[in-house]
Amino acid sequence: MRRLLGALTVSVALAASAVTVTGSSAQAASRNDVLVIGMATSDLISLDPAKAFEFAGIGVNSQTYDRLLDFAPGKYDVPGPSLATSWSVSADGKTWTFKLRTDAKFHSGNPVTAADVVYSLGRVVTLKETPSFILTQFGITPDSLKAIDTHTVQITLDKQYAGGIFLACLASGVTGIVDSKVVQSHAKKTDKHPKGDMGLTWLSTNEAGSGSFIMRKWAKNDRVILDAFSGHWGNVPKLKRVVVKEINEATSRRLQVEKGDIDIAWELFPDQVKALESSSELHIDKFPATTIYYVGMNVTKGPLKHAKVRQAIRYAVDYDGIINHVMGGAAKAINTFIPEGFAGYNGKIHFKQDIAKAKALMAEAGFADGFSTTINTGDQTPNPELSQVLQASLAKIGIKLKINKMVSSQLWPDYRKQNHDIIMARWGPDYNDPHTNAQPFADHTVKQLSWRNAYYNDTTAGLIDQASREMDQAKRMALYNKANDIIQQDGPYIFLFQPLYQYGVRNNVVGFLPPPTFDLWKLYTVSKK
Amino acid sequence: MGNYILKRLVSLCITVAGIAIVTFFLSLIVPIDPLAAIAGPQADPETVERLRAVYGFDQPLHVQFFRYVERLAHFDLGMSFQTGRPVLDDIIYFFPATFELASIAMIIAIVFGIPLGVISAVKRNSFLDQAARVISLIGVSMPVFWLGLVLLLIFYFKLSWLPEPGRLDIMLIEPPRITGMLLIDSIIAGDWEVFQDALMHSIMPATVLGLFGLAGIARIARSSMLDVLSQEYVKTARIKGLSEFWVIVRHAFPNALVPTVTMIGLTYGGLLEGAVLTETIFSWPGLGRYLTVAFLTLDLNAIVGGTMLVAISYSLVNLLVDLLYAYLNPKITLAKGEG
Repeated sequence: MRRLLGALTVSVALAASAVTVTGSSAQAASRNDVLVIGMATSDLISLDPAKAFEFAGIGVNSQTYDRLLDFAPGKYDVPGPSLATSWSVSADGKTWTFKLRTDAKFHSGNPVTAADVVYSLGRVVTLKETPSFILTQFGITPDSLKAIDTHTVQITLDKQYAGGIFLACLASGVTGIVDSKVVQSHAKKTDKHPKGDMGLTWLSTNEAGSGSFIMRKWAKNDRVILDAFSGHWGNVPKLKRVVVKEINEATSRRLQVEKGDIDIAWELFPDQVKALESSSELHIDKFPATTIYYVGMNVTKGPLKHAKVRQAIRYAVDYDGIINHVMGGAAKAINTFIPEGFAGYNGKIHFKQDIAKAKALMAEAGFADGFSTTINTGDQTPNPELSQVLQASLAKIGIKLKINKMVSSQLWPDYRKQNHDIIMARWGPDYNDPHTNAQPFADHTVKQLSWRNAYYNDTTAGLIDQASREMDQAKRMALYNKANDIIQQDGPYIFLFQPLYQYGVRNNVVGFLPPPTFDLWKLYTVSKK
Repeated sequence: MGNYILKRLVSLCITVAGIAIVTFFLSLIVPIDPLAAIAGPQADPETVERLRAVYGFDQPLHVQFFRYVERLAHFDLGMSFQTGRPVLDDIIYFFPATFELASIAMIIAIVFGIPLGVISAVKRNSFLDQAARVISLIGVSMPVFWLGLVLLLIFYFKLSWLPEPGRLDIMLIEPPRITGMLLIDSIIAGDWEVFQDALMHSIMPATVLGLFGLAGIARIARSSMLDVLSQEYVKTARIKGLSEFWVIVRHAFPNALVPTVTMIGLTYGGLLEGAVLTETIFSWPGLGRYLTVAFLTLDLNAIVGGTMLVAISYSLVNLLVDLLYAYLNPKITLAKGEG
């Protein structure tokens, strides 16, 4: 006992002595070549470009890997050259040839060659992890990839696709080019890949890229340390180091950016933004996220099969209330499946709350007395709150809406089985081209959102199919917009809003360009005064 | 003694095996599709079915079960669907941070909880007793989330006495990982700057956690102390003319410790599961957050691994408590203590 007490006394003394030492000074603010970003990175599970499909993982990969093409920071409509300096397509629209730059090096010092590109893309379609569909949708297999010479790559697709779609996909996170020599040396046999995992296990926590930053360390659930790669062919970072610190709690992000312990607080909510607005040391940067919050209506369920009822519901919704109150102003109304930030975006608003019109439409459809139905909703903010506003709105036209809260592992399988009446949902693009949204929202044949809501419209599906082969960018955008007009008026959705990302940025941070998605996130432009 | 410990360890293995089996069948009853977590919300039906085959969920139940048992027999906890890493690696990675935090919290709870309980029993109904009761009440009833944020606001944001959330200053580099506990690893490496910084970073989260344990410990210490103080042998000691101080320290306190130790054991076991909210507020990379994500996404292998770790921790702490009993009170024989 005495020994125990002795040990305790020592620990207390130790703790007490530590308390007397002054706490941290504003650490991030004191170093000009180190940028500290505080963000919720609990979804960081793999850093392998072939596997990562979560915001944080793609965000980190965007710093450490180069792609064949890329979107310039701040310009997100058409991708430009990156590892590939020029490209051309055969007359039948199926075979693409890419010329690689000759001065690109991996972090290991190895040169970036056509063989690395063939290996990297081949890896994605062989491993078949979640994001692999971005390439396999073009019928790409390992056999479609060919290194013509050290700096020329040829990719053959199964049929002609709109160049805009294909090139945008080659600029997405999954196409990060890995150092084939380094990765092959770390391949091992696993249960899932008995013939060898092509480095899948190793790359989940390590990095073998040629990007502007080298991943120095990933301490899980704690921080990622990125160091500048001075040997980059073009985009050498202005900073020496970037630390991405995991801070999942938004209030904590706010306190730390205000105090200067972090330079950028990622994704702040309206409460925190309000608290920071008066600060003279930092400002709020905003950019619309490309996520779209929408309501899906299963058109096989009761009155929802009537287009006029769906139209009435769209007129009944209190859009302003949702944006101003539930979202605290951090959202913008949208009536298109092409989010702002993408090519082809059209800001036209079809629906504003108009209860009289909604009631008239209900009467025309034969439901003047309303009806009862159920909305399935996720249990995470803001979904329940959004559903409550919807409930109040629909009550005004006689529709009794029952809210059924579900955890996401119940919600999505149920949605996939077309079990819902109405669902509160959201959709994030998979790559940076309107096609990634147009297809799920308007083409039921791909068994995505349109199919899940049992909305089988051959006209819109045909328009999307036509767009998928249209080589002229402007004509392609017109096709999407034509499909969108039909979807807005007749389709199974209510488009609620596009949220705004709000970042708290210290005033000494220069060159930060808030990105609409994580695979467009570029840190090499950032510096500190 | 050695024999006893061996017996207890055998029974621990049986417990763990039982838990493994129960967990497997419980996971089947839950009306949730684990593929939803693996495939993500945007996946199309074909991808979901393909993944179902990859992960073996398309196999008959008994095949799944035998595969599961076979793996466990080889100490293979399988891969986490979420992280894509072996569950054992994940646990080894995240547990030390939790263990470190829970241990510091426990030290705080014991160092302050026991004296608080003893003093309030001795000075019953005095101002001190009332004050102790208020502290206990705060510890038990204050929501951790709220308390954590308030402490942050005061001691970090306003006063700057304590550092920001996290385990270590962003500019410091962790010492080589040996135990995974920063305080220990920094001592091994002789890196006192890291040691001091890590200690400072642990004070707030450990206090929040410790306050919760403290409340329970103080209450038990108080009531068992009161119980002991009314016993005949304490009266005898007083009649013998022993000063009140020695009556308490030598006769009452050691006897009151036995139930308190039980409480300490239970509290410690609970803390080792990881404290989700505390870990979230203080950006502490521990097991609590890992397991929460695993539960929410039905990451079966991770759930089984975590459950077994918790079972083993509880059993070991219990064993330790029983051994302490024998040390504290020689009248308790270990053979009877089994159960």
